[in-house]
Amino acid sequence: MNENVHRETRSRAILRWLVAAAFIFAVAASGLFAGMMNRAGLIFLLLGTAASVLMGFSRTEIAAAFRHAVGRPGPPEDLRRSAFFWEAAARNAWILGVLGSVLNFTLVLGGGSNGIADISDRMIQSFVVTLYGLILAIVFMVPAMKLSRRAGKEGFAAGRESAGKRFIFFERATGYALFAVILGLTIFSLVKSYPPGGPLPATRYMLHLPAALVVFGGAIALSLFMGTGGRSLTFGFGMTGLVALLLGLIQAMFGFVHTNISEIAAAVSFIISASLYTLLGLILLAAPLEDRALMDGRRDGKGRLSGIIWGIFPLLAFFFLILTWIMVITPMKKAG
Amino acid sequence: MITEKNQDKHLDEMLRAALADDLPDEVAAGMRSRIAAFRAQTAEEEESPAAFFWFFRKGLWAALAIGMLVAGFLLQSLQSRNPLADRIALIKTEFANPETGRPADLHSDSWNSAPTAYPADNPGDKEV
Repeated sequence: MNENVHRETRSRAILRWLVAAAFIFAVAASGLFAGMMNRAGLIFLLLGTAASVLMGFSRTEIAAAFRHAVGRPGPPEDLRRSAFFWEAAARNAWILGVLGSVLNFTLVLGGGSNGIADISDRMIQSFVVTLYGLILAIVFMVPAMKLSRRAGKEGFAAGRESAGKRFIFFERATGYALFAVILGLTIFSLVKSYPPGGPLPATRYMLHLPAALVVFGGAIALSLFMGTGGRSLTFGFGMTGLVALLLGLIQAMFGFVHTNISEIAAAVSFIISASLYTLLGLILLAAPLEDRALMDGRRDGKGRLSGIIWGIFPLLAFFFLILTWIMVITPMKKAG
Repeated sequence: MITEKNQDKHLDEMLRAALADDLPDEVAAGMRSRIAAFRAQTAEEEESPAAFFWFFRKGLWAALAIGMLVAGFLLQSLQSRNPLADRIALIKTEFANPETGRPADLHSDSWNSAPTAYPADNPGDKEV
């Protein structure tokens, strides 16, 4: 009796996922949203999310999360852990969506162009990756919310030893290696698609010394004062990134007042690079450490401040990216 | 509850009887010396070079981080040149002169206007 009910629940869950996948495929195949297609960005997002969850979770935890998502029953504590896995995946998809946009935008600015219309088109194309990230995050939030409801409202059991703790080193190494490969391939793919004549050493455009010094210096300083661990790193990166964005914005406004193109360009490049480094710090360093602390039972609950930073900072970075786009396309004559 | 208290009382009495203050002198001296050695070791550990280096290392990291932060702010406020900013300036001037379709101020020596293109970017290209 019980077995039949489980089988039925699982079949229903699989059917729902299949219908959703078929719907997405039909929309993509219809060509209605052909202008919204950014293949390199989509691949970066999907594989990047897979790599990012490997950095913070063990194989056993990932497998359990998938089993619970398709309706397999389990004790409330395990369901809670699986719900947290899906929440983390949603968070990573959201951050990676914005990161993909920032990366694409940087490479568009650094690449060659076939005129104003072409470069404007490619700049807007880079924003599409954030949309993909948001959609993927919503998709991952569905199992997270359902599992949270099934698990009840209790907190995490602190001090509980995770079953997959011993194997996390392998997953973490694989996750970082996979992420490095995906990042390299995405940059290569984006640079290759640009018109001939564009400057190829794209990494040169991604290295911005003042932004790197401010973001990493600030994050290290703040996390030293706050104490070790993922939460202090999240706070460090989030707050330093916010300061850097505001600094860049104020400098750009001064540039407009002084009608000084070089000042605006310096500010815009600072904003873009600071966003890039902050998002990379959040996804590669802070998030995996915080996920692991919770799954290993070293924390008894999700950090509220970290949650706010993970939600708000990528959104702010996206708005600042739009602002930089407006600043770049706003015509301006040289002063004097 | 009362039974538990009685049990504790018996245990106390047994312990008192077993650990009476009648240790032989050499054993008492040995214990005293061990306690003194333990205290000395603990005090030594508190002032050990490892602890000193840990604090020094933490202080060094903090100084390095703050140095990086200050250097970053200074470099940014001085508008140090970098390839991305140069490209943005170039694109911005291109947007300002859409009819020509090319940057307006390519031969400028001053960085108050749009900078020149990097020669290394397009080694084969020549300015017309």
